[in-house]
Amino acid sequence: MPDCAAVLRSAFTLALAFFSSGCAFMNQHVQLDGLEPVTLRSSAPRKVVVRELVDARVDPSRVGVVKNGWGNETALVLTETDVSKALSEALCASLERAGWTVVRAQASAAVEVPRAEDWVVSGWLRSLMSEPSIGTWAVDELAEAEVTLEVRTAHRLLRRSFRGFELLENNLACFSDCAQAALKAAMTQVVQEAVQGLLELSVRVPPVVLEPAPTLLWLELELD
Amino acid sequence: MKRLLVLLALATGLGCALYQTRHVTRKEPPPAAWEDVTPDAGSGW
Repeated sequence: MPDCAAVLRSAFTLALAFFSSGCAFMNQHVQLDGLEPVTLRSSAPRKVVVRELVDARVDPSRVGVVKNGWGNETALVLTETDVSKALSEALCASLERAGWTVVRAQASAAVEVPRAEDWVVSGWLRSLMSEPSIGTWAVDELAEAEVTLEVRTAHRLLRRSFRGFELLENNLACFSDCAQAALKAAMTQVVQEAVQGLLELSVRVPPVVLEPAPTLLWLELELD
Repeated sequence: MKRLLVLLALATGLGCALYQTRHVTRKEPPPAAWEDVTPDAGSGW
């Protein structure tokens, strides 16, 4: 018959091992709003209508995974923040900071075909995910965000994807602070990439000189 | 004998810990160019 004390000791050891790793089994909750707009200088400011980004992810509340010491996914990183709205606001604020005139619009809002010098910017949030990389003595936190933008000018429709990546290295342990910091940094980087892309495109696309409309000429002749 | 087993366990643990490496996998970046997707449009930019 086994010794009662030995059984209790084993049970205590197992319980300690299980509960000490409890943080890896609990979902983490992060706040991802309040992104700081990026500061870039524009040499060709424009007027743009920016539609709110459409969240194209399967589960908008899921933004990452938690792993245990063996690298197995044991829990989720969740958020209640409307991430696409936070990204849209950061994009608008960054463009305004660059000197552009920004008109905010809902994603589903009907926007008229722009004038030759104006643009309509719309887009999708493709992915936003963080995951720890478990190492020997430390944990790295990786985060990645991907956004696709579509720019509608008077004559063309242009599309490009942007990706933000953040690697927070050598954390002793990864709590929700790490995931939140990495995710916000990746989101800020994708906004910076997107603004940079729009500013470059603005320089590249020459302004269109509008011909006076024939009807207006005719009316002027009539008045004379 | 017990000490030998403890030492063996420690050496195995250390060996596994040193062997373990971190891999940072990063997806290929998207093309750094605007694609012209205008209906009935020609080539890209």
